[in-house]
Amino acid sequence: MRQNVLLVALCFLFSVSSFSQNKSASEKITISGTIKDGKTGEEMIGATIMLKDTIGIGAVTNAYGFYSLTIPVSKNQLLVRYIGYQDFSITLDSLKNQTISVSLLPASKTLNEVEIKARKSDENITTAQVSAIKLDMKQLEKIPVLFGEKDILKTIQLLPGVQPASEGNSGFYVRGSSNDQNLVLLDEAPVYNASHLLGFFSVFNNDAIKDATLYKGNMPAEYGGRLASVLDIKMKEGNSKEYVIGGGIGLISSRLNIEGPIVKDKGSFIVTGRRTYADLFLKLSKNQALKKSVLYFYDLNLKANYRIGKRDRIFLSGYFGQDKFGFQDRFSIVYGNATATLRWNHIFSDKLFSNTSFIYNEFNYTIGINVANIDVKSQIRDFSLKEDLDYYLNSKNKLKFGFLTTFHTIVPGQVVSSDTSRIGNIFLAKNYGWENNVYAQHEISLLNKVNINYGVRLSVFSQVGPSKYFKFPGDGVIDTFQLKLGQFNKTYFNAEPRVSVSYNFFKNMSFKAAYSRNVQNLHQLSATTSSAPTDRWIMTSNNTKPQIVDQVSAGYFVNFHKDMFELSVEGYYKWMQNQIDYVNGATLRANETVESQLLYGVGRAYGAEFFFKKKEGKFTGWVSYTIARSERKFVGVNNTTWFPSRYDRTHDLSIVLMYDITPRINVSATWVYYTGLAATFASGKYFLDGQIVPYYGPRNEDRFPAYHRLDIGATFVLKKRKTWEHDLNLSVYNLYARKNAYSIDLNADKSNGIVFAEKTYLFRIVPSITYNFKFSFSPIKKKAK
Amino acid sequence: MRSINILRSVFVIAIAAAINSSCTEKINLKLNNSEPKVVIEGNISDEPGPYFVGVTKSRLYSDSNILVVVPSALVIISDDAGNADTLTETAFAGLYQTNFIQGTIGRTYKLSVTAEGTTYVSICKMQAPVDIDSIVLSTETEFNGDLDNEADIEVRDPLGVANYYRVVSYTNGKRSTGFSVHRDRLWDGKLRSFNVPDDDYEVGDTLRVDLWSIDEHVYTYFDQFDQNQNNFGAPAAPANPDAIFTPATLGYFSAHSVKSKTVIIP
Repeated sequence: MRQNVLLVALCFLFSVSSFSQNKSASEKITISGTIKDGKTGEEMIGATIMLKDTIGIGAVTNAYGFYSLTIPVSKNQLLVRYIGYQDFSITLDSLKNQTISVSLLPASKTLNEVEIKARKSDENITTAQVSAIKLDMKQLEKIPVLFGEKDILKTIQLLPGVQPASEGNSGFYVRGSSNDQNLVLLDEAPVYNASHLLGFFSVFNNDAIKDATLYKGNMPAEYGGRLASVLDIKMKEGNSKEYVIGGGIGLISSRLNIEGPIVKDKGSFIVTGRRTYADLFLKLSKNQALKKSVLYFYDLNLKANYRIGKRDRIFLSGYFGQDKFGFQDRFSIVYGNATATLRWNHIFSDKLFSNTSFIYNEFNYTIGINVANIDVKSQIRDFSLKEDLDYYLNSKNKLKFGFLTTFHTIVPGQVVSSDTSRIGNIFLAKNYGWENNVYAQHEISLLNKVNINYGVRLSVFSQVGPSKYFKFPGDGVIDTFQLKLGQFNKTYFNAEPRVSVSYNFFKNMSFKAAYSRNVQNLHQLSATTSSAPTDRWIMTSNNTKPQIVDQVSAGYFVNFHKDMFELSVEGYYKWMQNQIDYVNGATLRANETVESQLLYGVGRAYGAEFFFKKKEGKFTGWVSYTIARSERKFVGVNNTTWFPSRYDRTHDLSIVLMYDITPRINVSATWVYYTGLAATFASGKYFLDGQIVPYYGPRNEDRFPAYHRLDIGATFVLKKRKTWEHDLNLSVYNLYARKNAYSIDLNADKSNGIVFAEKTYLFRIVPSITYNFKFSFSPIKKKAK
Repeated sequence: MRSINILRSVFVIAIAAAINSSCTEKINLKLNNSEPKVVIEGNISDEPGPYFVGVTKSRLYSDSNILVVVPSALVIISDDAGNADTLTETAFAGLYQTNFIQGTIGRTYKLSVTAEGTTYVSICKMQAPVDIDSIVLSTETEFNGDLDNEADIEVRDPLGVANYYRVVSYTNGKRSTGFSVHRDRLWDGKLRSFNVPDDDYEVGDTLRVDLWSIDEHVYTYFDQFDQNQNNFGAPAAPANPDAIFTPATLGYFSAHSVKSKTVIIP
């Protein structure tokens, strides 16, 4: 397999080089530059620049709004497009290599004098990328959510192949994989725990987010490190034209954001903050214990950028968020993420774009158990250096290559006790890991009908000293060995080939297929259904091998009625190796030989995803349906046969509807239905010490009842002016008060011994209201370009 | 693990109190049926005999709670000093008692039960006892604001040895429920307090607390019951505790030493 891929790769590279030599004989020019939003000055990701009268010659802007397009000299008419914005035409007056930067204006409904109309996107058809969804951040605002907190992680759960980890949870499962197999990136920095309040909210403040793309596996070679998915979130750069203050006051939290130019059109900044006040509800309680408890979180997002000359630009972005939760003065838990990314964009030439990033990220928690006078502290921290180069060979060929080197540090739960404590200090050895990746990928389009994106990523991982390591030769024997600074534990090399191909039958219809291998070297140990912030991370080691997935996907994509409707059908199959489970009664915490508690096995997941979307008009929305299976096999569990995993949901249906009644009022509704999660309930009982105890059958042989829920929402724009706007958002979560089971317990009636099942449900009807406002300091003076 | 489950449930209750919604409700749930299995409960201690072994069978979860006993089994307890005692079935069918064997600290015991054509065997070593330092009585404010009487025992854990404990209490002679086990992995050699199970006593009650020093695999067996508790959000994969009989069947055999302390609630 790998040889074949290499062979194909070589063939393509060869054809490209011969191709480009031919080109240099004929006359070509290269145009490059950036495409921006004319109103805010934000760079646009995924905007298209193309030849007006020749189909198939065009370029798409990268993550920094940069494009490079090589065209024949005979053409001089260009068109720039972005969904929701007015088209922009360019006539080249000189036929030489040049830089052209464009600012697009939003398509306005009041603009009826000209024929300019917002164009719809057909990117879903034309690119080779399969299993990827770019989220429409504007649409996200309209979708009703729990407590009125707009949440990107909950919105992606309405897409095919993505399921919530549990009720109201921001954790998600992609195509039958666990939550820790999702790589969540915020401005390139991995976020290890993307949830607040034990999972009910995500750490992403919508006000700070510019763009988000979800890859459900089969991601391009530039991404790696997790098996199941990549959610690539990019923060806003900040308005470079005027100062804007916005915010919102909601039931659970309030938000405030400030953005504006540092130097107009040269640099800008954005600061967004959010804090919840759920603990105020506790104060209202009559319960003394609740009154004395603490429960809140906050988030801070910061970003600044500055353009140094025409070729260089520097970005600094950061996130800091923390949860604080205390029950009386007995327990407390404080946890949070911090990320920082320093980036340098450099344009080497009109064909070569470079981005260099220094990335820092950490997640930490401290649990205070005051009754025992101890603190438990844990941290996971990475330092990374990343280089990505985009090389625009010509309008048909694009190369991307780079490297990522990361130094990981994991501090497992250290127990720090005070002098009066009856528990001693427990210092588990810190773990250090060094991970290196290089990748190269090539995007090529042939005959305007076939697009191919292939590449390979190489990953090398080793734990490094100084630290203490363990071997488990069997029969409960534990051998310890020490590594000094500079010494390496076992090193793993993995090649991750990726290829995706699309064939456009017609302009609006394509068939796509993809294969990819992904490798994961950091593993989260989570023994509960919904992830907890204290779930421990471990590294690939001499005992734990890298997790590997091989995924094939194929799909049929069609747009019709002038790209107003979008329909897709995708199928996938995943083979997973070195999956992790736990021995019965595993001790995962404060255990330095935690790896002795693990079982390693294999997994498989397959399914079909159906997606129908109406993208334009007053009435928009989508229906997504997934039928799938996800299974695992571990030696000794269920007699070493396949059993349904915790991520197995047979049916998953989401319906999202949005309707603009007037330009000022829109209403929305979502309905979700999915098969209940696989669980193990008792199948028998017996007496032990005079008590009835349950007898369990095979792993995950039972099911929770099916989950379904209807939410509705409405947004009323109270006022909308150029400098000042505000709106009111109302939503109702779980409109028909379905009592969805969060957990199920089996109990026996003590008087007559009759067994009954009892479910705990979290929410009945939850109404919420949010007020949002925004005002700008200086009116727009400049027109596009 | 425990603390996070407490945190999670506190959070769930906090949310529930805030929006006044979370609740429990009985539901219909279809359960699969399992084959009945033999259940053995055997104990031997350093206290004077006789010691008892019960042999019963598991039932379907939906069945009534009437005990299904296994009569006429061949039950033998032997030790590494050459003693072997064939137990006699008592007036209660399925319950067998020893005739002469005496539990001695440091000896290794073997229980062998032949029932329905299969012989099940388990081996256990009787560990040295650990004293109860004191019984501490206190009053705690419960989560719901009520006051609750609590009892703890203080234990001075011997340094340098791995100790495993089980705490059993008797309020006016009524034995506690649950499987309250502890190990000194995190506090070897320290003074440690254990909560007394079923400690809702009243003034004038007689509270006796027994501290069993148990073998490691017995600890693991009972600890696994605890791991299966359906705490909020944690029904990941409950499983039967790993069998401590060969061939595998349900139940346990514990050889343990006992220290005891009694108070009359003032």
